[in-house]
Amino acid sequence: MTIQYDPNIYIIKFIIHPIYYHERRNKMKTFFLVALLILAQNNISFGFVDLELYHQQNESYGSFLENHCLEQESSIIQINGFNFHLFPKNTLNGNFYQRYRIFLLTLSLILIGIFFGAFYPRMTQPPIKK
Amino acid sequence: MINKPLGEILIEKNLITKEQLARALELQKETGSLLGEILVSLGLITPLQLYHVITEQGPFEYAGGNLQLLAQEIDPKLLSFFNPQDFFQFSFFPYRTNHDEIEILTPNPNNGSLRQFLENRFPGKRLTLKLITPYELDWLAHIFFKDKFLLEATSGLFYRSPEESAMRVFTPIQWISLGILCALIIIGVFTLPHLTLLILLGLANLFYAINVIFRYVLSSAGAKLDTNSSLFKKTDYQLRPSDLPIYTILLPLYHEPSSVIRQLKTAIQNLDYPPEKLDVIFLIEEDDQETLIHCKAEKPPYNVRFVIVPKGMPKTKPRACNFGLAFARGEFLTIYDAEDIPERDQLKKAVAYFRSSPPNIMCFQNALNFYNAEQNILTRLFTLEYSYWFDYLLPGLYLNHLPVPLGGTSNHFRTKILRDLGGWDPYNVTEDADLGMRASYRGYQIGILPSTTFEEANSQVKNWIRQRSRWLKGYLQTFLVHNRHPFQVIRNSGWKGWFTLQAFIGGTTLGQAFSLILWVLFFIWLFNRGEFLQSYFSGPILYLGVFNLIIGNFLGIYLNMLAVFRRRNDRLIFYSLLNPLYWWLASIAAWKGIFQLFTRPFFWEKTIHGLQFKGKPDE
Repeated sequence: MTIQYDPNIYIIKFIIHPIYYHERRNKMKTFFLVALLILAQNNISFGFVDLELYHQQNESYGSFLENHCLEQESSIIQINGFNFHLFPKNTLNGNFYQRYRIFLLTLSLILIGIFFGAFYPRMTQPPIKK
Repeated sequence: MINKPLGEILIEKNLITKEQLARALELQKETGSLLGEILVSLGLITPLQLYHVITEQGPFEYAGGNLQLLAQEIDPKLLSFFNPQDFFQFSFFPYRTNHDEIEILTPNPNNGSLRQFLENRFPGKRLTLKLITPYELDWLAHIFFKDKFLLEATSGLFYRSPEESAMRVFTPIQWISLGILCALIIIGVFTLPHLTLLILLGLANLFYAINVIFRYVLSSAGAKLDTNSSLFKKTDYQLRPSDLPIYTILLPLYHEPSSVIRQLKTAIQNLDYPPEKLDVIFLIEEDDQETLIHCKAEKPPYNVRFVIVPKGMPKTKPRACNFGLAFARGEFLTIYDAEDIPERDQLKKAVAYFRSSPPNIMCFQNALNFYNAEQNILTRLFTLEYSYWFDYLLPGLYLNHLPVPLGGTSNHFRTKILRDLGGWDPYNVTEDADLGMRASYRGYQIGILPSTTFEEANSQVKNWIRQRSRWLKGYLQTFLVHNRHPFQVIRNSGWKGWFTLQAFIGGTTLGQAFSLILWVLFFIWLFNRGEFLQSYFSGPILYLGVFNLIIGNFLGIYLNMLAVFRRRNDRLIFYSLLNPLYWWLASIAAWKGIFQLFTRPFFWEKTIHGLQFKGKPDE
């Protein structure tokens, strides 16, 4: 059995077709938004750490926070917010909540911001007649 | 032109017998209604037969028959001289005009008040009255004013008083405040988790305890309401049939099975009220052809009018009712659900109560209860709850001069005040509760009518949760709408009115939602031997929690037991012990309602009626 390849169909279906174009644009948008979210979260998380919000934790589990700030082993990991605190030697003394507290706080605040921002027109304006 | 009485002509034409005429004349003496109306309402002749005979009798010409042609002949400029409400109040429709003459279409040409109204409106012009049937009058209004009525039904309240409409779920201040509150809680949970959770648990328990005490106080007051009050006897003289006004009954129907329509028709026919003074309006959605077919198949009596509600959003019961309100003729108006069976004397009782009450009582709410209480455990628990709500809580609110959230159906209104208030909010999914609160905050009062309408209790858990989630979502909408201007609420109805809004309207949904969390914590404590939660439940919070667990649940069960005594449903008494299970269901519904408030705020979770008929061979 041979597979017929028609370049015209390929062009119509995947390049010119407006629905595909919109899908692709939406995917790009989603990608950039997620990337922005991770970056924002990373920066704000570091900001919180600098503000010493972990003060109480530092007293009992002093090592892991300092370590992650000062002893980054790779710049890639520093950019990637999801691997924040995942160095084995940094996490020895903390449970999940202690390790990811700043991360979770930032994520929650950003999600609240996004939710209340995105729903603002829908919740505070009359519905638009369609 | 035949110079003979109407009855005689009808006998000559063999349309009625002498006995039938004698019966109709007897009724006419009692009620003072028109003979033709009585004959039609008794089903002895059709409106068309009546109008043909009246035309023969003279001097009025019958202009109906071909509605499309008639509509083309009507002078649209003439319509602008009137308010559409006038057409139903005085029962007429403008036809044509020239320099010195005005032609009017009416089903009742001998109506003195119509003649006076028109002479005042057009002094010096000669009036020519032509006949049409009441159905043709409705259709003409529908043809010419459908869009206007629909706009009024959908957006009237919002345009006149945007702050009282749930069309906007939150105001910007409310939305931003909620966002800040959520952010503060999150920051608290991640920075000072112990203290934050202590505060949250303390507030939830305190709120719950206040709610329990408030309900107990209300129920104690409600228990004092004497349902055998002498008010009805005192006003007996006002109940002569000739003094009874036209009473409108709105019946919003949507996807109703034929068994339900049959039951509804029988219930309406059984009402002890002169049928010619009953203005029954079946409100059927334009896209619901099935219900229209079922209604026509049941051949309802001639006092029933079909009003087709045009398509549009939001597709809710209050929108349909607002549309129907435009067609209402009655001095008083009530609303029933499709599956309702009101007590026979309910309308007469309502008239008597209205006549002997101050004019600021705009509505009477009567009790609702169920005719299928014994169907299963869910219906038994639902009956207990309904009995408690309508026999104790609402009378408690009334006797304490607090705002009463109207419940479901069987609300009896003064039609004029209802129109002045802007009708129901089509965007609020508990439009009745909202209307009760709005009326109270505008200085009107809601009374309690000692009469009962029997409904069908939801017998399926899924259907029950759907219905309950709608109610609880609507209570939240009402809570948000009336909290937009709290100082105005305090100014209009005092601190008591404001507190009722927080504890009774907001407290019902939020309390039921919190209760699930508190129950989960209780079970964790039970299996965890308290180690994990010990630091959170200590001191005052522990006492409050124990109070809610023991006293709160005891009172809930005890008050439901009391409800049984007033209704003499002794067989249900042991089922009240199962109430905690029922409250868990309510909690699930509360969370569903809260979720829907954000995702589908105006979505109407339709309650499926007629479930009790399922499985019966005849249905």
